[in-house]
Amino acid sequence: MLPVIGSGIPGFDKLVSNEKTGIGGIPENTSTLIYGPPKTGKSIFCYQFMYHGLSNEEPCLYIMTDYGIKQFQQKIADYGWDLGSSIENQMFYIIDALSSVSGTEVVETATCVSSSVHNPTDIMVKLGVGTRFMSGMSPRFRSVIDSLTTLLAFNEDMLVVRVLTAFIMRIKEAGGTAVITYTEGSADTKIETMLKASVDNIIRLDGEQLVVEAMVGCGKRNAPYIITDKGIIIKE
Amino acid sequence: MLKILQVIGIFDKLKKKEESIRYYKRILKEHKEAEADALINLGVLSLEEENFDEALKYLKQALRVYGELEDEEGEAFVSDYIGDVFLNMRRMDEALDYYKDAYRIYSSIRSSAKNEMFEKIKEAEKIMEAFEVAEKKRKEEFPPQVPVEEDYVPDYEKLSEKLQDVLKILESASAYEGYFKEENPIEYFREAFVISREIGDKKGEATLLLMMGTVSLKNENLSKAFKNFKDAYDIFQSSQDKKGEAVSLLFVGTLFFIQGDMGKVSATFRKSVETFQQLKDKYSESVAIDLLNALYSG
Repeated sequence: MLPVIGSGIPGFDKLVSNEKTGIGGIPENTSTLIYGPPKTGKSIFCYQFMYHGLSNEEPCLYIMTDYGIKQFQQKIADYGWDLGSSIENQMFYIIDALSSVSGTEVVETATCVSSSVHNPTDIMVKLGVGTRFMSGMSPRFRSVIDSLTTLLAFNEDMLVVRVLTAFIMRIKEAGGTAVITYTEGSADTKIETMLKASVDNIIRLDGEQLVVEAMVGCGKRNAPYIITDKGIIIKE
Repeated sequence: MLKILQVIGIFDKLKKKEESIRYYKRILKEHKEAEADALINLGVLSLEEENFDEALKYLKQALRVYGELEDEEGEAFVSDYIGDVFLNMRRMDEALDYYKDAYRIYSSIRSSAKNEMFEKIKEAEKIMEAFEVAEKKRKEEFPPQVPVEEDYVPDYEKLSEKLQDVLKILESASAYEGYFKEENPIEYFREAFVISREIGDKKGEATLLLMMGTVSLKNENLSKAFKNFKDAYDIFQSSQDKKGEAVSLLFVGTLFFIQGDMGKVSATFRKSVETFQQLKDKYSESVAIDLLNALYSG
């Protein structure tokens, strides 16, 4: 049976559950692309994925390129979630690739490092340090890139595809499960196809429907969803 | 006596022998000509395949066969082909030698092919001249090691620090600045360099080469530093990153200064500053001039 991990999104695990066993979730040690138009809940999906893992003692390595650490903490607080203990216990590893660009200083710690969306090599160097840290803590961990869109805005398209491939390879080798976001239409269709081909699972969010376009061990599924002050909820 | 010999038919026998010898000589000549033809064909086919060594082997054998046959026109014909092989190998001196041999032979046998050969020699000389100009230019940009000035003792630590300041011109360098403070910075730079190559981050790759070269310079490993700086320049150039090109020229120029080759120092710094001017990058221009002043003021 394919091992899965809880997504943290109410109704999602059931949507993708095995018809015989009734067990569902995101297949462990795979990569999932969450894509769709802007403001459809892609980042929220990541927050829930990350927070659910942390709540179950699964560390998380988070690469943020759309917002800096301060903005991220604010967003998380808006949902009433507290990351304090996870940060304290070094369960949450952050690579902030935006603050340095926007001129905001990042107070670096053992588990919070600054990088730059201009510098994919540095992101990958820090990812290497981060994955070693994560795999040292737990044989199972989660990882997020939110999002590829900003990387695409600052770098050559093919370079971002190679970064994604290297990211997935490193996370999988270290035993992690990755979620990556991408805003539909921010690269040409050829690149979009390459991004999709690089991952194991593909989920599209359009603001109303969540469509599982591809997932290991699961056929195509779809269901309506809403975004509430508790995050994304899949409607029955 | 003569009559007796005629009676016993000895002359007939001799006549037949001479004919036989002529016959066999003719057969031998025909075989040798066929051999030369086959060798030329093999040589030409090898040349078309760009298998130059093989082509030379066959054609030189053909040349020897024509020599044995005392066939001057054949020798000229093969020499022309051998010249073509050397031309393709960019070994211009040898190409010209063979073309000139062919021309000399064609002239001596008054062959009309001599005019064609003359034109070919002129053309080859033009190509050779173009190669020499290109090579001279290349050497001006990146000359080989030159002797160090006797009275100049470089302060490698200070020079390395100065180059670290220059690196700040490159945005991509800021992320790696911290590595210089590590106990073994080269290990950190190398790890990042491997990643940059893996993901095809050309700018990162070239920047890291400049940084590794700076560490090598500090460790007084000038040849390694020069190679790193030159490789960085080549990468920036191939990715058409003008700013990166100009910055790496400052590093190369600094090495020329250490080596005491002031002509090259001037050429590289001038080229770098001109590029910054074209880019309207006043800040980088001032950094370049500041570096040059620092070098001359010791």
